[in-house]
Amino acid sequence: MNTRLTRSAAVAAGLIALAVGTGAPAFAHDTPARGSTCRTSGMVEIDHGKVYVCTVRKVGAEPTWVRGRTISRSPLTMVDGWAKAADTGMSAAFGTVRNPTSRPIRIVGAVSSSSKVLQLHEVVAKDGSMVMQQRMRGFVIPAGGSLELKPGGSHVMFMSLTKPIKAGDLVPLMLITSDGGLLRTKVLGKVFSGANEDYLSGSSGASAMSGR
Amino acid sequence: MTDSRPTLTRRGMLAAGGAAILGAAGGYAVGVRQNTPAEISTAPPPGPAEVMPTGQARVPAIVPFHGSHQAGVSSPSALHQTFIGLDLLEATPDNADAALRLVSDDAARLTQGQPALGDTEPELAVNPAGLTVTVGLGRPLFERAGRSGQIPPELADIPPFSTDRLEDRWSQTDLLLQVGSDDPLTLAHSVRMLTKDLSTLTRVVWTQPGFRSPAPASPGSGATRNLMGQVDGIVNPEQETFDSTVWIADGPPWARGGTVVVLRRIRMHMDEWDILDRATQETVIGREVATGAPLGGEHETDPVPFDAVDDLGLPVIPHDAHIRVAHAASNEEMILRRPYSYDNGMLNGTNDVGLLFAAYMRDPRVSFIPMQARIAESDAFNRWNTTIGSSTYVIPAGAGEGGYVGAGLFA
Repeated sequence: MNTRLTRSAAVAAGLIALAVGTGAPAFAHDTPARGSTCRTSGMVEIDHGKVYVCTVRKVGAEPTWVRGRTISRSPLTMVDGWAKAADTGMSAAFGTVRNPTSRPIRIVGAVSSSSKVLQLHEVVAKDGSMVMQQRMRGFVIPAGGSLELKPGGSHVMFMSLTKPIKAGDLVPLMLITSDGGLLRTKVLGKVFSGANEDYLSGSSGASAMSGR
Repeated sequence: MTDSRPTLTRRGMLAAGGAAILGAAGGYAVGVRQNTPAEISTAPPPGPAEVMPTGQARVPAIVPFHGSHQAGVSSPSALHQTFIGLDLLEATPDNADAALRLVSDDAARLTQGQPALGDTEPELAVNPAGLTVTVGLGRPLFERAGRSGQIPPELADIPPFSTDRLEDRWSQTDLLLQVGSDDPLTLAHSVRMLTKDLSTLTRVVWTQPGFRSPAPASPGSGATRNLMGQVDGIVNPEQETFDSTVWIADGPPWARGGTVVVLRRIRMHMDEWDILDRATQETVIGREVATGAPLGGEHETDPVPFDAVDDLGLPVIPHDAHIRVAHAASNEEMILRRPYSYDNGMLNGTNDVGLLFAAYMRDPRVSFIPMQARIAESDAFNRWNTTIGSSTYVIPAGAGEGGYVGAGLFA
């Protein structure tokens, strides 16, 4: 057996461990085929040094696996990261993502040992009220710029907690970019009930919020 | 002197005009009253005497959070300070560590004029006005969270004294948060952020808000007055002996550079005190009210003439005068006094007011405890005040950049 692991394979092994966590979710063990259907948008598979994100390519279409990207360490950084403390159900992570490079970088997915599936969500105005919805095309961090993920705005959602996020916890979170870049960070669990964010349990789509 | 403008000595500037100086240099917060030169008495200030050990300097707008010592001990006393006593809901090392991490995260941001993470009132974070957040750990926390072996010897239990009438509601807790700011709105917001963030880990047992006057007790004074009108907080370590008086010098890294705080809630019997004539009041304390000078002295900072006798051969400072009984006989017995007044409204038809006596020292076993024992035994002042609350905490060393106070102790 070849005991000399290549760097990317070693990284992948570590990332699989990170992604799977303690309550092993039912990830497919076959390399996801591009275009094959997957159960829930936001699911992530890391296999043989490539990362696959389950996404909805067109409005109304079934979620399918996107072509795998070779993983690498993303040049993005995240500061002031935190997540809402919650025992079960849904939660969210916030913070400021910075892009020090000279090209825009698009975040397309996220992974955490605290939830089987994570999604990228935004809040938009629709018919006079503010609506939270999944943002399939992800978040673009402008070249040399930053993006603030915050309550009432764009954020990363933990769709179904496999373990509680407690106040004071440092929750591992990994953001995935469209070119296979991985940003590993830890976000601080905090008690929070502001911004009138009501998470409808079991919902992975839009939820209406009263606008102010 | 023929010049009608007040002459400012360095001490006078430090006392009253210091705010203007610090304001010009440090962008001092808008909206907080500062003594202008015109407000200083036209009487010539005392001559070029020694510098006050704790000059009545106003706080700078920003006090650094990170450092070898926690802020809020050697920095100038803020005008408003709230002491919060908390108990862990479930005393485990993980919960203690989580609480400490959350406190430092909030404090590192708020003290620098930045909102806390998830701050729902970020506009209330923009004027820190010298905000400091200081964390203290009580003996029960170590015992309940499985760290009895880490209790520093300096964190001795304060024994009950015969004159104490301690109420459970002001008793010892696991944790202390000391939050101070010149801006009371900033202070209230910071207290809310901290207690809200700790709400799943702790319960607040008591809060003890206190206040100081921005005005010096008298021109050139380094102290302010308490509600009995006395100049309070005069006797404090000189600059040269400050470090050895206050900071813990040995022990584990988390304790070195820390200190021990003893917090006593002292109710003043104002109705009985106000009946007294001034001469009696001064005899009880051993100081003149108007100037704070010891009887037989002229200035607040004069050494107390313990051996002086009057023309009848009686001691000028009576044997049971407060300042004699409380006197520290050596540097080892010195404590740092940072008192605050409290006003808790009406109780049983009279004003519930008094002093939050906060004292900081390297080791209360050799300083505070023997002093308080002497006071309980023979202080004439005991008739007019009662200690109704007492607690003590070790204040750990400061946190470095990226770190938090108490890191490594429970995790």
